[in-house]
Amino acid sequence: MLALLNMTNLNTILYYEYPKINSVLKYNRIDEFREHLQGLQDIVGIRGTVGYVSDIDPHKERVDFHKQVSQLQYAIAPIRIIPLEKSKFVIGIFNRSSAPENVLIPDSKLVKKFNDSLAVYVREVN
Amino acid sequence: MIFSAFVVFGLTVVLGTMISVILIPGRRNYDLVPLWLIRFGFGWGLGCGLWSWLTYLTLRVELLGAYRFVIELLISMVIFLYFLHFCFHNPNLSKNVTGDSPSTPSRSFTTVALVSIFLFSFLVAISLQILQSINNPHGEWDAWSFWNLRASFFFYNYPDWMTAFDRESANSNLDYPLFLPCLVFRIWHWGGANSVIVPAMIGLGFTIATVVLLVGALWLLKSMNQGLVAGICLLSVKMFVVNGADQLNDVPLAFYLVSSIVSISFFLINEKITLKPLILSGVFLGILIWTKNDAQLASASLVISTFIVFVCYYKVISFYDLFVLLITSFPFFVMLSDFKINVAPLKNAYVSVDYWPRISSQLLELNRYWIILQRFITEFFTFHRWGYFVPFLVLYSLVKGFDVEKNLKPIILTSFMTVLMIVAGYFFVYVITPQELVVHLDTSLNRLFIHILPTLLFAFFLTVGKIEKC
Repeated sequence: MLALLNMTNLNTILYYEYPKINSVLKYNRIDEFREHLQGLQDIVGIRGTVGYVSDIDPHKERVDFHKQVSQLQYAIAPIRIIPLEKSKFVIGIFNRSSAPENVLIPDSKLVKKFNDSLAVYVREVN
Repeated sequence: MIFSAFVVFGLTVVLGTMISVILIPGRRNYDLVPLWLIRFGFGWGLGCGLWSWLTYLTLRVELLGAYRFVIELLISMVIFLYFLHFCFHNPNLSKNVTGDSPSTPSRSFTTVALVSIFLFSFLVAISLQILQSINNPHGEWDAWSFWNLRASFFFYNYPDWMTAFDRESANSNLDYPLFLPCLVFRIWHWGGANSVIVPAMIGLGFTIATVVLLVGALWLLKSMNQGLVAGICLLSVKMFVVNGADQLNDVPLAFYLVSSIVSISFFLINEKITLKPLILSGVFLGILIWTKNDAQLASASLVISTFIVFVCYYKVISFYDLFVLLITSFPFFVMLSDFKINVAPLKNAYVSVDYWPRISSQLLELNRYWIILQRFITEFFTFHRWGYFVPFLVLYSLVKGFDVEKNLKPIILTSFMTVLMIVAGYFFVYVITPQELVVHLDTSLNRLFIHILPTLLFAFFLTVGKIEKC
C-alpha cells in the first residue's frame, strides 16, 4: 500500500506535471503590453480611458478576444478600457497584420505606433 | 520589494499565530508538534484574512495614509501585549495541562517511510509551485482579469479606489468579494510596488498552510501516520498544487472551510470547557464568505450541517454556542453586505426575477442534469486532475476498514454533510447557469472540487482505520 501511495504521488507530480511546467516559458503577453505601452499614460493621462480594437473577431473568437482585452486592461491599469463608441483614444492590437494608419472607426488618426502590431489612435467623440 | 514582502508576511503569520495560540490553548494530551502545525496553519489564515478585512474597512471609512498605519500598529501591539499576558498567566501553554507526557511519535518503518514520502512530496510540490510562478508570473485568467486587476486599481488610484468598480470599463465580475484584492493591494502599498511576488507568495502560503493544517489536525485527532497519508494525497493533486501558483482564490476558500471545521473539532474534543475554538471557527467562517461568491454556499452548508448534526441530532452544541459561532462571523457578513449593496450592486443572473423564464425552462431540461452528472462523476475519478489518489482511497478503506471514534462522529458527519450540500449546490448552480453549460463546466468544475478536497480528506481519514503498517 505504501508503494501504491508512493506511485500515486510520483506519477502525478513528476511524471505528469514536471515536464510540462519545466518545458518552455509561457508566452507572457501582459509584460509585452506593459513594455510596449510605456508611453500610453503620456498620451491619455494616468487615469484616462481608451477604447480597444483588434483583428480578433469578438463573435467568432470570443474567448481569445476577451482574453486579450483582459490582459491589456491588467497591463495598462489604472487606465480603463471603455466601450469604443465613448472613447477618444483607441488602442489597436493587430496580431495578423501590421497596425494600419487608421482603424475601422471613421475619422480616427494614428497617434503613436508602439510596434508593428500595437498602436494608439485618436478621434473626435461627441 | 522582496524583503518588504517577506517582512510583511512574517509579521502576518506571527500575529495570526499569536491569536491562534490564544484561541487554541494546549490541553490534555496534545502532542506539541501537531498542535503547533495547526497553530501555524491557522496563523497564516488568520493573519491574511483579518488584514484583508481591516484593509477593506479602512478603505471604506477613508482612514488613509499614516492614520491607517497607526491603526494597524496599535492593533498589532494590542495582540502582542495580550499574547504576552496570556503566556504569563498560562505557564503550561507549551505543556500538556494534566502533566501526561505527549505520546512519542512512532519510529516504525511505516512512519519513517511516510515521513520521507511526505517531505519529498512537500519539497517537490513547493518547487513545482515556485517554477510555475516563475514561468507564469501573472497567474492565470482569473488572476489578471479580476483579482490582481482590482488590486492594481486600488494601488494606482489610491485613495480613489472606487474607480475599480467603474461599470463602463472592461473590469469584469465586479461583485466578487475582495479578500485577495485587498490583501494584495495592502502589501503592494506597504512595499511601494506592484510586484508579482506578492500574489505568488499568498498562493504558496495558502497551499502550505492547508497541507500543514490537514496533517496537524489528523495527527492530533487520529494518528501521525493518518495525517501524513492525507498530506501526501493532497500534495498529489495537480490542480491543488498549481492553483496557488495560478494566483486563484480556490485554495484559500478550501483552507477557510477546513479551518472552520477543525476549530469546531477543538471545541468538542476540549469537552466544551472554553468557547474560544468556537470563536475561532466563527472568524474562519466569516473570512470564508469574504473569499469568493462560491464561498457563500460553502459557509451556508457548514452552518446548516452544524445546526442539524451538532445542535439537533447529537446535541453536543447548544443554541447559545451556535449563536457565539454566528455572531463572531457577523462583522464579516456586515462587510460583505456593505460591499454587495454599496460598492458593487449588481443584478444577479441566477436569482433576478428577469431571468426566471430562462431558469424555469432550464430546470425542466433533463438532459442538463445528465450532462452535469456525467461531468461530476468524471471529474471525481479523472486521474489527470485528481492524481491516482481516489483508487488509493478506495483500496485503503477496503484494507483498513472503518474505525470511527465516538467523539469524532459528529465532526465526521458534519464534514461529509457540508461537502454533500456544497456538491448539491454546485450541481443546482450548473442547472440554472446563465452561461453555456459545457463552457461553464469546462472552466470551473475542476476548481470547485478543490474547495471540498481538504475537508473531504479530513473527514475520510477520520473515518477509516489507523494506518500502523503498510
